[in-house]
Amino acid sequence: MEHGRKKEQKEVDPKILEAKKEREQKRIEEYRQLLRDVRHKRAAQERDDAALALTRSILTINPEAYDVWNFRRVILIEQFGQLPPDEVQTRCKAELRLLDELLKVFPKSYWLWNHRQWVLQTLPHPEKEIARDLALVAAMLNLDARNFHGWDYRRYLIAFRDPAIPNGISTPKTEFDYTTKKIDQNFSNYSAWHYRSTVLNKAFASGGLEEQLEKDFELVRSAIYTEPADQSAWLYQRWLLGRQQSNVLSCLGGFLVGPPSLDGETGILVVFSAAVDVVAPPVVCLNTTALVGVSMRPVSPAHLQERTPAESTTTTTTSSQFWFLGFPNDATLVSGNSRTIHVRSLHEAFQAPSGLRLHRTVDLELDVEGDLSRFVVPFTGEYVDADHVMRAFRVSQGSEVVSDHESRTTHVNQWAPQPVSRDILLREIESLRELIEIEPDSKWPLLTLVYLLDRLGGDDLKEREEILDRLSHLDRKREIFYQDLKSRRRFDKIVSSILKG
Amino acid sequence: MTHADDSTHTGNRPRNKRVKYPLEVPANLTLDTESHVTYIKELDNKKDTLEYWVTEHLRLSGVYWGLTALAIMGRKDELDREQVIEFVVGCQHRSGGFGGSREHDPHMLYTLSALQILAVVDALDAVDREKVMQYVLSLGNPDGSFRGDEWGEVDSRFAYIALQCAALVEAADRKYGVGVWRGSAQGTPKGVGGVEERVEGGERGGTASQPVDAPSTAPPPPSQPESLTSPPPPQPSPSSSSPHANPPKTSRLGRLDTDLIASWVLRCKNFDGGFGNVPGAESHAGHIFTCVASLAICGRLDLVDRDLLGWWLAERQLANGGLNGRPEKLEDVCYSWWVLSSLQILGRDHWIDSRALAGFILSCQDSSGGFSDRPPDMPDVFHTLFAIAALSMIGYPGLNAVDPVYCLPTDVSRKLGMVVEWG
Repeated sequence: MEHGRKKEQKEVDPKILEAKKEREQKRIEEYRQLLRDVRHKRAAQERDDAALALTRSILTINPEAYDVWNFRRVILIEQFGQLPPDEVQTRCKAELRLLDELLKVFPKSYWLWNHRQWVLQTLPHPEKEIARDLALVAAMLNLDARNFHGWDYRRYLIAFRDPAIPNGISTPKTEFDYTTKKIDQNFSNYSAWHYRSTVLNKAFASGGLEEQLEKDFELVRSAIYTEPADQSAWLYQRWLLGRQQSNVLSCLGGFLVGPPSLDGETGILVVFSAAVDVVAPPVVCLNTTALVGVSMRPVSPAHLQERTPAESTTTTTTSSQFWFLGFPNDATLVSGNSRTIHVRSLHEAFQAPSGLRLHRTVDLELDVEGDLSRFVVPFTGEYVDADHVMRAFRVSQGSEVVSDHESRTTHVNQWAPQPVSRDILLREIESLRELIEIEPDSKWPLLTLVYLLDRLGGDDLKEREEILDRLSHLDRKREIFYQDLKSRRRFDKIVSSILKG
Repeated sequence: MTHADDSTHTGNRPRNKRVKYPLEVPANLTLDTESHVTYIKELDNKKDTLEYWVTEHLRLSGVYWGLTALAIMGRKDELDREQVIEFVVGCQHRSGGFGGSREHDPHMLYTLSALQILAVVDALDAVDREKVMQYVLSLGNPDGSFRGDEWGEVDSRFAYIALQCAALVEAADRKYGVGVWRGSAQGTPKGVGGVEERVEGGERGGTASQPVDAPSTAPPPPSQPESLTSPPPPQPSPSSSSPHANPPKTSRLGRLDTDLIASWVLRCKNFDGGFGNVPGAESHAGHIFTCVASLAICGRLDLVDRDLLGWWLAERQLANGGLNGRPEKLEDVCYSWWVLSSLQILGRDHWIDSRALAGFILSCQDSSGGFSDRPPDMPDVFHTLFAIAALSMIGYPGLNAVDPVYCLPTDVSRKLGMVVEWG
């Protein structure tokens, strides 16, 4: 539905009104005639150049006519079937140029962006156009930095896989740098902050994350000192700061493990936030087919436990933070084209000895292209290379679990790339207090301060309650929200005093 | 899926709402019901505008928006029921899906509008629902996502559509009996030739239809992934199924695997607790609604971080009372619905200032009826529905309650026994 359609001034002169009406009637008649013609062509299955020209005429007037796009694709598919690849390439390029023109006028039409993806998938040599499209969408995001279709399309291009560009057109680091550029242009670009949250871990998966986090805190500080009322950087900062570790059992992720050659046992190592037992075997699927004969055993080498979070010290012989799901001897698994390995319903399969269960549904998923051995982390018997495990751990605490082999879980804790140290908390609190001195009536530093004081702990709610009361006055539209935060803190205090006995 | 107690008027809404209408509405800001009713009724008489013709492809949604707005205002009889049903039926294709108008290709967007219209006019027996579900299921992907049509676009809107379609079909099957519709012999489980006859007899007879010119190479014809489908449930005789039966909690809704769908929806979740239209996409209030309402239908609201997302949604309210859809964007009346319904489903609608919102919504009324996105823009029927629905949620006097999960009058979802837990 079109938004922001400006109201026209009511015309009073009857002559002008009449002329306007006439022009409108003429345009309607022309448009309806085009529609009649194209429907006639479609009914008669005439997928010729004249039909193609008709669809173009209609779509130039109305790019939302989705079924005209459908017919246009049907014609193109048929015509392309009879052309050599280089001519298909030329025709597809012409199609992209048509879309360039239309997107200038209608940058938010879902149907246009859909058609563009189709053209890209249809191109015999998409790699030649992807770089150009990336530049085009960057130009569009210079004009409207918040067009989510543009950002989605950029992500689509980045994820595009083609034999000619096996590693894609861009790296996570390139994408991370792009978000820095967009944020530097305008601190208020929430779309860029969002994208940053999704690529931060991937961009620094092989090191440098902690240094980058320091730089990100600095970036946020520049943004909030420049414009304390702008939400964008504050929301990102809340994510950077993370939240209190909760007492919740979660699956931190998984990755493929196996011996350097695939003669030995290969499988998936699943990692939890605490030791768990098996209740029922999880379902392991290759594409959509469940694998039969998956073996399961806990893995608990001593040197791993030393480096795991404190919760795992209760590990016994039957429960473990690490579970190995061994693949059956299946040739289709080891080699083949692109395929997806899923582990389904982990929440039904595992629970902690205390009876605590995963509070979210958890599935793991891994896309494998070509030879499985390229994705496998070296693994021999009971021994897992601790460096690999630690890398998976670190990454899995972010929004997406990504090993260096592109494994990912579908459900992970969306919070915080890294746990934040007490030193950082104290430093940020200090910085907030300074900002509050300068901007006493700015609500964002006050609210953030409440959260940071929560994180420091302590039973004394006085300062936090005073701030929340102040916020209720400063920001009346959300008055009840602040009062709810206040009562929630009182409630938690009472509960914790009961638990302490 | 968990069905709430049907005896409550608005589902499991918390009783402790602190902000209640009647608010003191300024005298110049009252809902001009009569002019909105006239505006909606006149929409089909605007054939002398190009606007009418370039929006033809979404006419079925237009009827849903207008009809539902009328129903909330207690005036749904202003549209001719039989005419409405005839139009809807004429938009169905052999595949079971509906086009946006006669002679338009089927798409998920219009398939849901069709069922919603039929639900509002109490005529879900007018079409072959089994065919509709076959169409919906044919667009499911193994990962729990859904395509909008055979061309393959994936979006959280389509997962929501699949779920609401399934909820409506399940409800109607309980009411009329599985396979029982006007084109079937009463009590015969499957309509034989019903859709074909009906479609051929309609205006689109003889025109191009889907199977004839379906694309021959890409994309591949949708296959029914095993993980999404299971054999149809045993068919109870109509007399044995109570229209208000609450099925036991299960991870299925009809033939949909709600846990699988919920797991895909969760992949759209972001660092701010919100949801985008696809995994990796920025949080957007419209897509948050489709994801949160989807999880509500799946009975998996436990997967939403209510406080975090509730806070983000509450921050959509701007100084003038209106709501935007993303940080640092302009207000737009349609977000009154997307944001407020999400907040209501999460039980956090008291975190914004309803009185200020009502003032903004009412300021978007056009003097000749209908609502615009913001003054002084042109009104349209899309913004008109979401303005009136939001006013109803706020508690504006004289409006019928609206179900925040389905955007249907609560009276409709309650009678169909499809109210789910929220709030």
